[in-house]
Amino acid sequence: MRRSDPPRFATRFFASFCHSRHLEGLEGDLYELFERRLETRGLIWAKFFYLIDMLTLMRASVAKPVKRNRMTNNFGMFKNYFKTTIRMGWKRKGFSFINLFGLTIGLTSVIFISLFVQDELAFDEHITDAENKFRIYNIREGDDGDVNYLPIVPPAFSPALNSEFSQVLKSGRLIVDYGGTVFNVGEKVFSEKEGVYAEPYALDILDIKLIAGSFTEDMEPKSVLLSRSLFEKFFGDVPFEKQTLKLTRSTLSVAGIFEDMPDRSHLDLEYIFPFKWMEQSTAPVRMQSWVWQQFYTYVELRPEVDKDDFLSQFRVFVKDKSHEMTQAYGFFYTPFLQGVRDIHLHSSNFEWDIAKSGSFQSILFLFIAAGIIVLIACLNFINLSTAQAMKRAKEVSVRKFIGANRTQLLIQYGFESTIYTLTAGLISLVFLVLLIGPFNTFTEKSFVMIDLLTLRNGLIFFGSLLLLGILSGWYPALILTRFNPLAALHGGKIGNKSIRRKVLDPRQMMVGAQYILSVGLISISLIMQNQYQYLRETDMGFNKENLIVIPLTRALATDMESTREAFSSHNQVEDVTFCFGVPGGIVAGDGVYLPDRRKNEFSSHMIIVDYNYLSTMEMNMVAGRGFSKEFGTDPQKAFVVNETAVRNFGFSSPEDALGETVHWKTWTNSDSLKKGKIIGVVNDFNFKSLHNQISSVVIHMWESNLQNMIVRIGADNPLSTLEFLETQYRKYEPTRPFEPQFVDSTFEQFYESENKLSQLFTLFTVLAILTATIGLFGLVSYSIVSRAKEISIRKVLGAGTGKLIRLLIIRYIWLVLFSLAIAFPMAYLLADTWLDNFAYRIDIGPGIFIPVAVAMIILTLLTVGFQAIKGSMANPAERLRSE
Amino acid sequence: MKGRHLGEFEELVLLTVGILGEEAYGIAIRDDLKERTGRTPGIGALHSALTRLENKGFITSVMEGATEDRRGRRKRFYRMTASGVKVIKEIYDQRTEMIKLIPNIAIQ
Repeated sequence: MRRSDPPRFATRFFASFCHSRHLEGLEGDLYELFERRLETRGLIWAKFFYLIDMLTLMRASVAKPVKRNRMTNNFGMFKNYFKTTIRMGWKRKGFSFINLFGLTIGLTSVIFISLFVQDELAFDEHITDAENKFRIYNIREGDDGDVNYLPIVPPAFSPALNSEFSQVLKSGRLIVDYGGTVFNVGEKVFSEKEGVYAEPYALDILDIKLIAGSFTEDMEPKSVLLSRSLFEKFFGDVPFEKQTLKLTRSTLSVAGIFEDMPDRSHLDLEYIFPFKWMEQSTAPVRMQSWVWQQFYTYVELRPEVDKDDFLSQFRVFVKDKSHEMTQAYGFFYTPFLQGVRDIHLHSSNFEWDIAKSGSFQSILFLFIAAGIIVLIACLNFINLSTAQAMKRAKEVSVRKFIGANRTQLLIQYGFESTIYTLTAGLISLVFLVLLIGPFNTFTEKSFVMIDLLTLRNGLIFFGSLLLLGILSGWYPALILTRFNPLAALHGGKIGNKSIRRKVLDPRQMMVGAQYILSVGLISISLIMQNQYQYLRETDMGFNKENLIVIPLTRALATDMESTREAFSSHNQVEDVTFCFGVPGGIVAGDGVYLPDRRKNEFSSHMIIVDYNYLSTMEMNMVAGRGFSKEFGTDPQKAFVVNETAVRNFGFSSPEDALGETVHWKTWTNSDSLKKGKIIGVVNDFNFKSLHNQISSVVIHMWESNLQNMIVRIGADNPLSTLEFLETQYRKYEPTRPFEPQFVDSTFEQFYESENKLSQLFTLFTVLAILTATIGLFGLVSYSIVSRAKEISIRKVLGAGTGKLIRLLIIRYIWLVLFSLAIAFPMAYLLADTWLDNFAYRIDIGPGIFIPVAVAMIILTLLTVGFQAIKGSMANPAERLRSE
Repeated sequence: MKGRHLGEFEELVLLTVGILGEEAYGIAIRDDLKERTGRTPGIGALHSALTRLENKGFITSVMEGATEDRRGRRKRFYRMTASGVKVIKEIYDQRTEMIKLIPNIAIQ
């Protein structure tokens, strides 16, 4: 055992510096001196002198020679590779253009989509400890077979979580401020919509940061928190000091200001009222309900808690508490947990969600589409390179003779393809700069170039370019460097034949793969377009055009008949109705009793109307009659239901349901029943997005709770009609903003994200097909040029032009047919799964596939045919002479 | 004479290598020089002198004799070559000749 050693780093450094010839002897000398000094002067001095000695040895006579030769060599080779690449690229302009074109398009698409995806995945990253934070949602299953995903849960959940479960750190509720609030600041009036009533815990969980003021359990209920930007909008740039705001009916103080919610937050809140305020105006019994589902509930678990264990306990608890009660209303629910960071991308099937939701599926679709373009571009590169192997055979052979080994040649071709991908990458960066503006507009994001220039992005970008270059370079490199240099230089038959046979078949396969991918893309994008077309044009069961919804304010509602008259006094106003329940907007969920059928309640949606509703909406009666003034008792005793309700209530036909007794627990007092009969059955109409099935609807008249006025206007000159409506509105509400909404545009909003997806998808499809076609064009033109001699000889021997063309084309036609046979079933399966998202969907039939097949064949005929005709029309004498 | 010229230090080192005979390696040469001349050359200076002597062909070297205190590294043993012996003699003769020519110095 050695007690002590000289400093290791010095020894190692010396070894790296010293010429191997001297190393051993000198190291030995150094050690020997060290040992001796260790004895005589101690460790520290020994070490010190060791270092000194070592330093004195740092001289040229001891040092390793600098390996200058080897480095220059490598560099020179790469210089040569680079030059060869540029020259070859310049010589074969068509080839280079096709490759760069395809790669650039593919890369640009991938860059944009990656940006989009990165942004979507980064939602709610500002929330700390997100892995312990969840939103609760219910899957509600009705007796009528309805299944709904609801992010809103009963008010009793949160208090129970806080008091009964030790695993829960805290839990808090939000409820939306439905319809928004109108704030009066001095003379100015602001109508704001993005607000909630919230408990402090909910704000804690969501990491909403207060800049000023406070928000606590025991605060004054009539107060409000404003976002920084809303505060500035209201008061300008002044310090916070308990400013007061006026609402229509009350005054409230600003309790604080919170930091604006980040863009990438699933909630976008501008103002927050204390939950207490909402609680005060609600019956205490109702706030303990296990039935009423209306509250967004967040929960933070203790870090050590197992989420699944907790959830199963909570489910048992909820089942105990709620099932008996909800069963009476004809449904039950099961709670689930959703991680806060999953809310944005995994909520697309939720109803009544206020979260900004993206669709994970759409992102996946787009990413795959962009990937396919890059793949097609790479296949182009591979195909064209291998097709031209013969041209470079001489170069490769000379290199081999001079002494290049296989590895070096492989490196050369890998390098060459990497040059292509890098160039394409740079061009696509230019496109990125040019297109970022339109892209932002389209996606409603706000990417800034500067923010994107991070080291991480750069590394990923160049890393993937290198990878792409190597991936698309290795196969051509293998092919190009395979053959026997003697035979290739000789140019004789042996070389020619062997190259041909090896190269051809995989190339066919790759062209096939391109076809399969393109056909798949076209089919799917066509199916998507058809589906959206269907959604837009499908019969909604009422006429959604030219319907304007105006919120019914107190002033408008005081004397509804005179209001109706005031608004009707224009020749383009066809009908006016007052209601609660607008298709595309909010429709209440409730239930009714049919005492003659069963004891339990039937759950259904409920629309409160006046006499004009059914006629204004242009709904059709299937049986019985609508509401009419001729029967004086309609407001008290009449119910109208839709066809689905007829089925769910268990009647065999609409006529059967007529005259059935209906009881309804009124909203003002749940002990009093409104008793009446079904007087009519209205046709089914869609009041939610077509993702959802139509459910039971009960329509009746009820004196209070009317919230909206719906006006049907004529198609002529809608702008002046709108102006008229506004003038009328001003007479009642001089300060309140006039905010009409078109029913058809609310429906459009349901499909907005899907429309965008479909547009993007179509764009990518076109790009992909363009890339594939142009690649095929290059390939065919090369193959026909290389068969020029064969064609000429055939011609000399008597083959007609038509026969030659057929000979050249037939192979590609077979290829197309083969690819279609593979692509169609795949596309069918994929599209079918996607369509299952919609309750109302098209069927995929031959109507989609036949046009695609025909189009592909025509496209191929055009691409190949042009070249084939050119090739077979040429004068054989000239071709053969040129040898 | 260029290429065969010896510096003062080189001359001392060459002489020491000759004196030590079979035992002339780095540390031994250094110790012997210290003993005879009273000066302790740095290991770097010594090594470079040895390298120069070797390049001029006055000494040769072999590697052998690993020991424990050298951590198993062999020693580089130097030995005078014939031309080394010759150059030492030439120098000796030259110096003696020159000293003789100085007046007032008697040489026994």
